[in-house]
Amino acid sequence: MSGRRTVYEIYWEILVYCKTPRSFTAIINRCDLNSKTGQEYLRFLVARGYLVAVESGERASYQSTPRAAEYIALFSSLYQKLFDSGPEFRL
Amino acid sequence: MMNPALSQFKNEIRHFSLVTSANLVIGAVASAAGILYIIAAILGLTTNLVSPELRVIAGAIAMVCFGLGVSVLHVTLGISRGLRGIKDKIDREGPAVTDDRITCLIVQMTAFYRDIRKTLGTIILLGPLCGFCVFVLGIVIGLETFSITSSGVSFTLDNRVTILAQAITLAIVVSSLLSSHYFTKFAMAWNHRIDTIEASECTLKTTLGLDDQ
Repeated sequence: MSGRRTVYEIYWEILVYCKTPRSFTAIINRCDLNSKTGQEYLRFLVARGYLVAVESGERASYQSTPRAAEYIALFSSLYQKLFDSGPEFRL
Repeated sequence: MMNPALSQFKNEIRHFSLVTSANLVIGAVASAAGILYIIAAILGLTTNLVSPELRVIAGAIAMVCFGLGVSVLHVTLGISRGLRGIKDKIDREGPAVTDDRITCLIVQMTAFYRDIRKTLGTIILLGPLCGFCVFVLGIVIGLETFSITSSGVSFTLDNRVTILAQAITLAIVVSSLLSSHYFTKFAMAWNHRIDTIEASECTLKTTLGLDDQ
């Protein structure tokens, strides 16, 4: 996904994508991040306990923790509520 | 039953896509009208115009018309390409769309809207201007006699040209005004959503434990 996203949107995207273990390369490719910012986002999420680094063989992969579910659910409900109220576009 | 958010989201994208297509047509017609008049003038086919001054004015309007038409076409094509990407993703979804997938599409559209926000403002202004230029060009080409006296301005329009050409130019003006109106409506709806997102960032910040930083 590209375009102008907020940090919260990027966090949500990483956490949803990592519901199954994903490698660092797969995450930055999918979330359209460069490796430097990708490292920063992952470091933050791991530090807060939303992501966990899983060692599988030689390569490390990342997986969302049950704690991430709370953030994912809150984010989804906030974004879907955007269509419940306010002006609606129709012809 | 389809998720109400998804259903509304789908409708909005479909309607916005229709408005974008209409704007593409307006841009294409305006640039075609402009370039056709310029070519006709170069080939000397515009000698039936009332006066040489009017030919110069019509030439200038035709050039503006062509420029505006190309701008509208170019800007709308940019929006259209991005929108098509999102629309294709929505169309590819089966009947059972997960909650995460719906949110993902909404996030994509939000990011896309942030990208086109300024462009949309430009197109809201350019569209009616483009339609107005086509209309004025149609009037100028259709003039049979034109005079300015101390008692006022008098002119006669060529009926053969007027009936068909003026109907088309009028349709272009109306369509350009309508598309501008719907672009404004779309921008208002999404600006409201962007404001709501910004307001709810506090909740997300607290959930992530960022409020203590």
